[in-house]
Amino acid sequence: MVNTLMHPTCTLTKEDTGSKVDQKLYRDIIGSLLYLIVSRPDILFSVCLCERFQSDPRESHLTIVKRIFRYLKGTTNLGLLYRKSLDYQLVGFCDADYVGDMIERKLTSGNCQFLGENLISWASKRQANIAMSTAEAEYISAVSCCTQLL
Amino acid sequence: MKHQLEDYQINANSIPIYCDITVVICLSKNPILHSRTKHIEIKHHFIRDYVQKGILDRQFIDTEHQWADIFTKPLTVERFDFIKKNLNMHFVSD
Repeated sequence: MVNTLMHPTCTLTKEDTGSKVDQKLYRDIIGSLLYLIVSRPDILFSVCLCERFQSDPRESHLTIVKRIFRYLKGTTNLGLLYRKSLDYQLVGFCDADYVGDMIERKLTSGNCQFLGENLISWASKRQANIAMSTAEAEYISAVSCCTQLL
Repeated sequence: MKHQLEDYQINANSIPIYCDITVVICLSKNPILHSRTKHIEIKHHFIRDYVQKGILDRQFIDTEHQWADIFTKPLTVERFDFIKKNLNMHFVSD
Protein backbone atom coordinates (compact mmCIF):
# COMPACT_ATOMS: atom_id res chain seq x y z
CA MET A 1 0.00 0.00 0.00
CA VAL A 2 1.23 3.46 -0.84
CA ASN A 3 0.07 6.87 0.31
CA THR A 4 0.47 8.80 -2.89
CA LEU A 5 -0.10 7.98 -6.50
CA MET A 6 3.11 9.33 -7.88
CA HIS A 7 6.36 10.58 -6.50
CA PRO A 8 6.45 14.41 -6.65
CA THR A 9 9.54 14.39 -8.84
CA CYS A 10 8.33 11.64 -11.12
CA THR A 11 8.20 12.51 -14.80
CA LEU A 12 6.95 10.13 -17.41
CA THR A 13 8.50 10.29 -20.83
CA LYS A 14 8.26 8.44 -24.05
CA GLU A 15 11.14 6.03 -24.09
CA ASP A 16 12.65 3.56 -26.51
CA THR A 17 14.97 1.66 -24.22
CA GLY A 18 12.67 -0.05 -21.72
CA SER A 19 11.13 -3.40 -22.52
CA LYS A 20 7.76 -3.34 -24.22
CA VAL A 21 4.56 -4.20 -22.39
CA ASP A 22 1.54 -5.93 -23.85
CA GLN A 23 -0.45 -3.05 -25.29
CA LYS A 24 -3.79 -4.78 -24.86
CA LEU A 25 -3.14 -5.32 -21.17
CA TYR A 26 -2.14 -1.71 -20.69
CA ARG A 27 -5.25 -0.46 -22.46
CA ASP A 28 -7.44 -2.81 -20.42
CA ILE A 29 -6.01 -1.37 -17.23
CA ILE A 30 -6.46 2.23 -18.35
CA GLY A 31 -9.98 1.47 -19.50
CA SER A 32 -10.96 0.12 -16.13
CA LEU A 33 -9.39 3.07 -14.34
CA LEU A 34 -11.38 5.47 -16.51
CA TYR A 35 -14.54 4.14 -14.93
CA LEU A 36 -13.20 5.00 -11.54
CA ILE A 37 -12.29 8.62 -12.16
CA VAL A 38 -15.99 9.44 -12.22
CA SER A 39 -16.13 9.13 -8.45
CA ARG A 40 -12.50 9.53 -7.44
CA PRO A 41 -11.01 12.96 -8.18
CA ASP A 42 -7.76 12.06 -6.43
CA ILE A 43 -6.61 9.60 -9.10
CA LEU A 44 -7.69 11.73 -12.04
CA PHE A 45 -4.36 13.35 -12.74
CA SER A 46 -2.31 10.16 -12.63
CA VAL A 47 -4.72 8.24 -14.82
CA CYS A 48 -4.76 11.04 -17.38
CA LEU A 49 -0.98 11.07 -17.40
CA CYS A 50 -0.68 7.32 -17.88
CA GLU A 51 -3.23 7.12 -20.66
CA ARG A 52 -1.03 9.26 -22.90
CA PHE A 53 1.37 6.35 -23.27
CA GLN A 54 -1.19 3.88 -24.52
CA SER A 55 0.28 3.84 -28.03
CA ASP A 56 3.65 2.57 -26.88
CA PRO A 57 3.58 1.40 -23.26
CA ARG A 58 6.87 0.42 -21.61
CA GLU A 59 7.82 -1.21 -18.36
CA SER A 60 8.27 2.15 -16.58
CA HIS A 61 4.75 3.25 -17.46
CA LEU A 62 3.27 -0.01 -16.23
CA THR A 63 5.09 0.44 -12.92
CA ILE A 64 3.31 3.76 -12.39
CA VAL A 65 -0.05 2.23 -13.30
CA LYS A 66 0.55 -0.59 -10.83
CA ARG A 67 1.27 1.99 -8.18
CA ILE A 68 -2.18 3.49 -8.78
CA PHE A 69 -3.66 0.07 -8.01
CA ARG A 70 -1.59 -0.25 -4.87
CA TYR A 71 -2.88 3.14 -3.78
CA LEU A 72 -6.46 2.15 -4.57
CA LYS A 73 -6.12 -1.04 -2.57
CA GLY A 74 -5.31 0.98 0.51
CA THR A 75 -8.08 3.50 -0.01
CA THR A 76 -11.03 1.40 -1.09
CA ASN A 77 -13.45 3.13 1.26
CA LEU A 78 -12.42 6.68 0.40
CA GLY A 79 -15.26 8.60 -1.12
CA LEU A 80 -16.74 12.01 -1.72
CA LEU A 81 -18.94 13.25 1.06
CA TYR A 82 -21.97 15.34 0.26
CA ARG A 83 -23.52 17.23 3.12
CA LYS A 84 -26.98 18.69 3.14
CA SER A 85 -26.79 22.44 3.00
CA LEU A 86 -28.72 25.49 1.90
CA ASP A 87 -25.64 27.18 0.57
CA TYR A 88 -25.92 27.32 -3.23
CA GLN A 89 -22.93 29.46 -3.99
CA LEU A 90 -21.00 28.22 -7.01
CA VAL A 91 -17.27 28.50 -6.60
CA GLY A 92 -14.57 27.68 -9.12
CA PHE A 93 -10.89 26.93 -8.61
CA CYS A 94 -8.41 26.87 -11.44
CA ASP A 95 -4.78 25.99 -11.66
CA ALA A 96 -2.30 25.24 -14.42
CA ASP A 97 0.99 23.55 -14.94
CA TYR A 98 3.15 25.39 -17.44
CA VAL A 99 4.88 22.40 -19.04
CA GLY A 100 3.24 19.43 -17.42
CA ASP A 101 3.65 17.41 -20.53
CA MET A 102 7.34 16.90 -21.18
CA ILE A 103 6.90 15.43 -24.64
CA GLU A 104 4.95 18.08 -26.45
CA ARG A 105 5.49 20.90 -23.96
CA LYS A 106 1.80 21.51 -23.67
CA LEU A 107 0.18 22.96 -20.60
CA THR A 108 -1.99 21.02 -18.21
CA SER A 109 -4.98 22.76 -16.73
CA GLY A 110 -6.93 21.63 -13.73
CA ASN A 111 -10.13 22.98 -12.31
CA CYS A 112 -12.81 22.08 -9.85
CA GLN A 113 -16.20 23.56 -9.01
CA PHE A 114 -17.96 23.56 -5.70
CA LEU A 115 -21.62 24.09 -4.96
CA GLY A 116 -21.62 25.40 -1.45
CA GLU A 117 -19.07 23.15 0.17
CA ASN A 118 -19.70 20.10 -1.98
CA LEU A 119 -17.50 19.22 -4.89
CA ILE A 120 -19.63 18.78 -7.98
CA SER A 121 -17.29 18.89 -10.94
CA TRP A 122 -13.60 18.47 -11.63
CA ALA A 123 -11.34 18.27 -14.62
CA SER A 124 -7.73 17.82 -15.59
CA LYS A 125 -6.86 18.45 -19.19
CA ARG A 126 -3.82 18.74 -21.35
CA GLN A 127 -4.64 21.76 -23.46
CA ALA A 128 -3.91 21.96 -27.17
CA ASN A 129 -1.96 25.18 -26.79
CA ILE A 130 1.67 25.63 -25.99
CA ALA A 131 1.79 28.43 -23.44
CA MET A 132 4.37 31.17 -23.78
CA SER A 133 4.24 32.07 -20.11
CA THR A 134 2.90 30.85 -16.79
CA ALA A 135 0.37 33.66 -16.90
CA GLU A 136 -0.96 32.45 -20.22
CA ALA A 137 -1.18 28.91 -18.87
CA GLU A 138 -3.22 30.10 -15.89
CA TYR A 139 -5.34 32.30 -18.11
CA ILE A 140 -6.27 29.41 -20.37
CA SER A 141 -7.10 27.21 -17.41
CA ALA A 142 -9.28 29.99 -15.98
CA VAL A 143 -11.15 30.11 -19.26
CA SER A 144 -11.85 26.38 -19.21
CA CYS A 145 -13.06 26.71 -15.62
CA CYS A 146 -15.30 29.56 -16.71
CA THR A 147 -16.86 27.59 -19.58
CA GLN A 148 -17.72 24.85 -17.13
CA LEU A 149 -19.32 27.29 -14.71
CA LEU A 150 -21.57 29.00 -17.24
CA MET B 1 -23.97 24.86 -14.38
CA LYS B 2 -25.14 28.40 -13.88
CA HIS B 3 -27.94 27.92 -16.41
CA GLN B 4 -28.95 24.67 -14.84
CA LEU B 5 -29.16 26.29 -11.43
CA GLU B 6 -31.32 29.03 -12.90
CA ASP B 7 -33.79 26.33 -13.94
CA TYR B 8 -34.11 25.49 -10.28
CA GLN B 9 -34.71 29.18 -9.43
CA ILE B 10 -31.29 29.55 -7.91
CA ASN B 11 -29.69 32.63 -9.32
CA ALA B 12 -25.97 32.75 -8.93
CA ASN B 13 -24.48 36.20 -9.21
CA SER B 14 -20.79 36.94 -9.40
CA ILE B 15 -19.44 33.42 -9.19
CA PRO B 16 -15.94 33.55 -7.72
CA ILE B 17 -13.13 31.84 -9.60
CA TYR B 18 -10.02 31.44 -7.49
CA CYS B 19 -6.67 31.74 -9.10
CA ASP B 20 -3.18 31.87 -7.61
CA ILE B 21 -1.56 34.34 -10.00
CA THR B 22 -2.47 38.01 -9.63
CA VAL B 23 -1.39 38.93 -13.16
CA VAL B 24 -4.12 36.76 -14.60
CA ILE B 25 -6.73 38.42 -12.42
CA CYS B 26 -5.62 41.89 -13.46
CA LEU B 27 -5.59 40.77 -17.07
CA SER B 28 -9.16 39.59 -17.02
CA LYS B 29 -10.42 42.65 -15.15
CA ASN B 30 -8.72 45.18 -17.37
CA PRO B 31 -10.28 45.40 -20.83
CA ILE B 32 -7.22 46.93 -22.48
CA LEU B 33 -5.40 44.75 -24.96
CA HIS B 34 -1.76 44.87 -23.97
CA SER B 35 0.92 44.29 -26.55
CA ARG B 36 2.33 41.58 -24.34
CA THR B 37 -0.86 39.58 -24.37
CA LYS B 38 -1.01 39.51 -28.15
CA HIS B 39 -0.05 35.89 -28.33
CA ILE B 40 -3.03 34.74 -26.28
CA GLU B 41 -5.70 33.59 -28.69
CA ILE B 42 -8.75 35.79 -28.97
CA LYS B 43 -11.14 32.97 -28.15
CA HIS B 44 -9.69 32.92 -24.65
CA HIS B 45 -10.60 36.54 -24.06
CA PHE B 46 -14.33 35.91 -23.71
CA ILE B 47 -13.76 35.57 -19.97
CA ARG B 48 -13.25 39.33 -19.85
CA ASP B 49 -16.80 39.96 -21.05
CA TYR B 50 -18.20 37.91 -18.22
CA VAL B 51 -16.02 39.60 -15.65
CA GLN B 52 -17.14 43.00 -17.01
CA LYS B 53 -20.79 41.99 -16.79
CA GLY B 54 -20.27 40.91 -13.21
CA ILE B 55 -21.27 37.31 -13.79
CA LEU B 56 -17.85 36.05 -12.83
CA ASP B 57 -15.62 37.37 -10.15
CA ARG B 58 -11.91 36.66 -10.27
CA GLN B 59 -10.34 36.37 -6.87
CA PHE B 60 -6.91 35.67 -5.56
CA ILE B 61 -6.16 32.67 -3.40
CA ASP B 62 -2.81 31.63 -2.02
CA THR B 63 -1.17 28.49 -3.35
CA GLU B 64 -1.71 26.77 -0.02
CA HIS B 65 -5.48 26.84 -0.44
CA GLN B 66 -5.59 26.21 -4.15
CA TRP B 67 -7.46 22.89 -4.29
CA ALA B 68 -7.11 22.54 -8.05
CA ASP B 69 -3.43 21.76 -7.48
CA ILE B 70 -4.26 18.09 -7.22
CA PHE B 71 -5.34 17.99 -10.86
CA THR B 72 -2.19 19.44 -12.35
CA LYS B 73 0.87 17.96 -10.67
CA PRO B 74 2.09 15.09 -8.52
CA LEU B 75 2.13 16.16 -4.88
CA THR B 76 3.76 15.19 -1.61
CA VAL B 77 1.88 12.98 0.86
CA GLU B 78 0.99 15.80 3.27
CA ARG B 79 -0.27 18.11 0.56
CA PHE B 80 -2.13 15.31 -1.19
CA ASP B 81 -3.96 14.30 1.99
CA PHE B 82 -4.66 17.92 2.88
CA ILE B 83 -6.28 18.65 -0.47
CA LYS B 84 -8.23 15.40 -0.43
CA LYS B 85 -9.69 16.36 2.92
CA ASN B 86 -10.69 19.75 1.59
CA LEU B 87 -12.29 18.27 -1.50
CA ASN B 88 -14.62 16.53 0.95
CA MET B 89 -13.10 13.12 0.42
CA HIS B 90 -13.42 11.04 3.56
CA PHE B 91 -12.98 7.46 4.59
CA VAL B 92 -16.28 5.74 5.03
CA SER B 93 -16.34 3.27 7.86
CA ASP B 94 -18.91 0.63 6.96
